[in-house]
Amino acid sequence: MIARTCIVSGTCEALVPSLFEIDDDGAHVLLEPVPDNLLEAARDAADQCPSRALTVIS
Amino acid sequence: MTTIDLTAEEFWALPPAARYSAFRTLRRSDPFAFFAEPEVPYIEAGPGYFAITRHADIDAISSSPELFCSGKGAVSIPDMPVELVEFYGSMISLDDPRHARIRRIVSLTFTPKMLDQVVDSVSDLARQLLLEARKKAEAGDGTFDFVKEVAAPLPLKVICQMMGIPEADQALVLEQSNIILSGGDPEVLGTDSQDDALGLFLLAGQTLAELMHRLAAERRETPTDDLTSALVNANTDDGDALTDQELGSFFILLCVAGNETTRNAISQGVLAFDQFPEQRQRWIADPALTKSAVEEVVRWATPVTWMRRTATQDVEVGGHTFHEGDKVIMFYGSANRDETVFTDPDTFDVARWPNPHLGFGARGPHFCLGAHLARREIAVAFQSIFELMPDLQVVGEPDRLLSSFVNGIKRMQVRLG
Ligand code: HEM
Ligand code: SF4
Repeated sequence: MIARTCIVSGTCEALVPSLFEIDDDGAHVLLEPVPDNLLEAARDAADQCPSRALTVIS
Repeated sequence: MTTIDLTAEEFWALPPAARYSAFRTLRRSDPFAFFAEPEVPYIEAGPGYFAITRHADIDAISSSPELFCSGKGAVSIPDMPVELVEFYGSMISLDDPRHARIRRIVSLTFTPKMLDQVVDSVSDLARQLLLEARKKAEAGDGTFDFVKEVAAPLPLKVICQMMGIPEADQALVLEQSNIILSGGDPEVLGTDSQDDALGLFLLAGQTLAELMHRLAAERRETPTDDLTSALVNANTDDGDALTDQELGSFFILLCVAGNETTRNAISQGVLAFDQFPEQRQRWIADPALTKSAVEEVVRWATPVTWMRRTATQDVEVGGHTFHEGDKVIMFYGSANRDETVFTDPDTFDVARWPNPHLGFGARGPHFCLGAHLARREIAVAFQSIFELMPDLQVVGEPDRLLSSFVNGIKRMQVRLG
């Protein structure tokens, strides 16, 4: 889940391109719920999000 | 290694190719090179700093803010008086929890939705500036200074519009931010005296802060849809808002962080497309390249050369042990040419993807707040240039800013057709 504080840094897309995508409207999660094999990568992206905007719901 | 001295002014006067070649040498044979600190008037020189030049090491340092802090100063190598750091640096030189609080409040106003209306007007602003510049060129010798007419005013107008600065005050904002950014350049300040320079610098910060305080009072009374209103009026989530002082410092940071950076990304981009015309043709022919082209412009330009961090404890990175208090300078321009990350790093390639450049900073809590805005500004600027000035050519050598911190172009004469 991406919260309102997302500033479209692109960090999540750079880390897990198969899960996040950035376009002019902002950041999007491509697969929800997050598949098991991407859970760890998703948690890492959430840790690194400069806006603390990512919450991984599994 | 004795021949490379990143502290020497002469190093930053070298042509870009020579600088990048020196950084390649450092990455290969001395990735944690130690240098003496630059001399700054009235400030006691510190112990020196480690130059971090490899992509992986910068990434490791930047993403561990508890081990490498920003609070001792992020934008100056010598330690500055703490009041000065916070007043001029705002959140960029703060650590958690104070950083997190301000970042949360301002992040809510830097969302794509809030920026949408600003971004819409960027296109109008860019076109207006380009048309005026064309008129000037046609009335004169067919050339104009691209920095003065287009690259400098565009980002400034965008920030002013975003914050709701009245038209009448915008010239003042440009003038005062130029003083803060001058790095003491006598040409900008109109004085050679260091005492005068320091006085002008302090006055400029005060002037910008006062302007913001006045605007804040007005927006508390009568909110509008600008960012200032959003920042001073508590948001509904948790009722937190910026204080007057925080707002003043944040505005100074925006004038500094959002202006010269974007200006130089656009100017350096124009220069790159002049040197690599086939890349210009490629982007024009395929607008779907916009996303990768913008990232490549930022990688190529690396407008902010470095940021500083300070080790908070003894810690090992990339095989080197840092000690508590060690200063590390992360050279983004070097990371952005790191051959272990980028194929043919010295080739300007608008289709390069993925492009994990560090132009907006590396991973971590301080990652550029304005990255989305800057990307949109750069995209719109080049789309407008390609449309309205397809025949733009750089005349002669641009006049580069002598600075280790900003990869800047002071003047760049261009010709149409
Ligand atoms: C191409 C243009 C730009 C470049 C290259 C750039 C680069 C950077 C870099 C390298 C940092 C420091 C990251 C760190 O310390 O780890 C940064 C931070 C920042 N930038 Fe940008 N920037 C650009 C445009 C903008 C714009 C347009 C704005 C705002 C309007 C902006 C606002 C900020 C702010 C507020 C910070 C501090 C964030 C924090 O400390 O949490 N920048 N930028
Ligand atoms: S990392 Fe965070 S701020 Fe950046 S785009 Fe992803 S969700 Fe948004």
